[in-house]
Amino acid sequence: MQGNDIEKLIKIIAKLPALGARSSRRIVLHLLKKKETSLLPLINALQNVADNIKKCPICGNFDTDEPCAICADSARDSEVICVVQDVADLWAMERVGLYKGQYHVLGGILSALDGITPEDLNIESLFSRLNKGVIKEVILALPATIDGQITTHYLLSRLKEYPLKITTLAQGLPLGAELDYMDDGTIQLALSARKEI
Amino acid sequence: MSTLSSKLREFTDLKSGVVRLTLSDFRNYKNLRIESAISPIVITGENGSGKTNILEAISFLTPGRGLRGAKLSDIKRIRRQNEEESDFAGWSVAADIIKNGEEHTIGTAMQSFFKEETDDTHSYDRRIVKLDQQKITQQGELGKYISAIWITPQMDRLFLGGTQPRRSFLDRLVYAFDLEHAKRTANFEHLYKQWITLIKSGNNDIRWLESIEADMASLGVAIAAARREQIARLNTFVEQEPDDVFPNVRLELDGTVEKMLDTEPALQTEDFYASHLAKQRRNILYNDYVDGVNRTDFKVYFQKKNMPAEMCSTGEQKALLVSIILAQTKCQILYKGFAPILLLDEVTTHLDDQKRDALLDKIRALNLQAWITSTGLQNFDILRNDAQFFRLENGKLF
Repeated sequence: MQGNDIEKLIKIIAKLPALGARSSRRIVLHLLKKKETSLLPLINALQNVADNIKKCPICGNFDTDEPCAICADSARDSEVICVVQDVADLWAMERVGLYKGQYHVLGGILSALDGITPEDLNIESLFSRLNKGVIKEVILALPATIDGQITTHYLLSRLKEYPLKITTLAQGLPLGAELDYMDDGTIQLALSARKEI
Repeated sequence: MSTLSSKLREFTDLKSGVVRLTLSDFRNYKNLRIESAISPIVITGENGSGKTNILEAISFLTPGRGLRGAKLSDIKRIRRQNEEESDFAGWSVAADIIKNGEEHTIGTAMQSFFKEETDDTHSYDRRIVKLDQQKITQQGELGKYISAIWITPQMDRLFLGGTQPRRSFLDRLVYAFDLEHAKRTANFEHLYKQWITLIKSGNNDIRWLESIEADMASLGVAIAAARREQIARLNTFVEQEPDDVFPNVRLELDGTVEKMLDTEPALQTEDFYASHLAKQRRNILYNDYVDGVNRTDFKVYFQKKNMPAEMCSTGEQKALLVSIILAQTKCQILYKGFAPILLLDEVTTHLDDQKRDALLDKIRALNLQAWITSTGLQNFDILRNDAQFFRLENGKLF
């Protein structure tokens, strides 16, 4: 049986996304065994993040600077904004390294069932940015789920009032996919979004 | 032999069905294995011996919630006093199947997972599905390999009472041909809940409401169109191939959206449906009644008598149900190119001797796999040389 502090730590780690009780015990045991090389650097890193992390007042990204490094980067295209659900989606886009515009993180998607309303999302600040008149294109990069679609339609109905180019990410076959293994809905989408080569 | 009969024969000769079924901790079975033939399979046993549970397990090899529509956790075998809790993770059904002569494996099981919520960590159950040892995320994929049609004693009252069971029955007939239909109906249901919750919460964000209504309208029209297509397919089939014993049916849809599609193009119907929903927002605050594809009724008529099914006798209603199932089965074989598995739970109840023998004879002639349960053997003489017979006693098959 573990002591109270260890038990508490296991419980906290087990509550993190994608982890359960078993993986939490393994992580804690690893940290205890590797105090100098794992536990202390982790405490340090967590403390630094806790002390310095800020939510960017412009786009909603997390960073230690305000505004965040992306918003502050003058080399990026300030006329294009990509709207994403969460910071994880922003990171995914940045990993690709292809997109050089700005971002806007909504912090979730609309869901009446979960009580998430437009007021709970980072939506008004998006329109404040648009009202400045610099933005020429908005890319709606929200999830291809039914709730993601509703949020896209909701934003679209408001964005139509602005003289903007509005785009969404293409939907269809993932790279390396074989048609035979795709579900009918994906094939239908890919077919309707086909392009000339 | 007619062209139609030879085409039916062509596909059923290729054989489709379950050849080995393994249940673990499923309902009353700790472990059960059945090696089955592609033929009628008659399972007899006393009430409560677990006959329907075998049929339910097979129904879980297809997309959806099985023939009882049960909660996943309710299917788990009840733990005996001397058994360890840790040995009771969930239930599973595994099967070796044949689709037109090709072999495949399907496995499905209940898995519990934990999700952190504001107050505490909660446990949820979900169904995982494997096809040929590969985990698949879209249950609908199974429909390409296996299909099942069932008749249960609960369906004896299908034509009486509320519209919901009839609508679900019809939607299942549609899924067999249009695998996307299941996703569409599930998405529509989700949007419907979102819409109702939003209106009841007093949030009057018109743009949000309109976004949901537009998506509901577009999905709703697709659902209505798929239902109309299936009804037309079955009516045409019955018209061309009337049954010699079972009463021929005429099928109709009674729904605002479906009716509008009779005269208007889909895009116009979508616009109408979206504004029709908008006009009904207030209804939700008073009586929860919302007209649309969620209220459509599936009407069945005894063609010769021009009588609605609900006015027919109990026996006639059963015969009408069998008639629909036989037409659907033949349509599936002809247009989908492989035979569905029939799951017939106490199917002979309410049928007279002539119809009972005719049904069993038709199943035999179709040369497909049909799992039939009954409390006794007395009614199955006609199948004695063609069927596999099992007797269930104390959770074991003999």
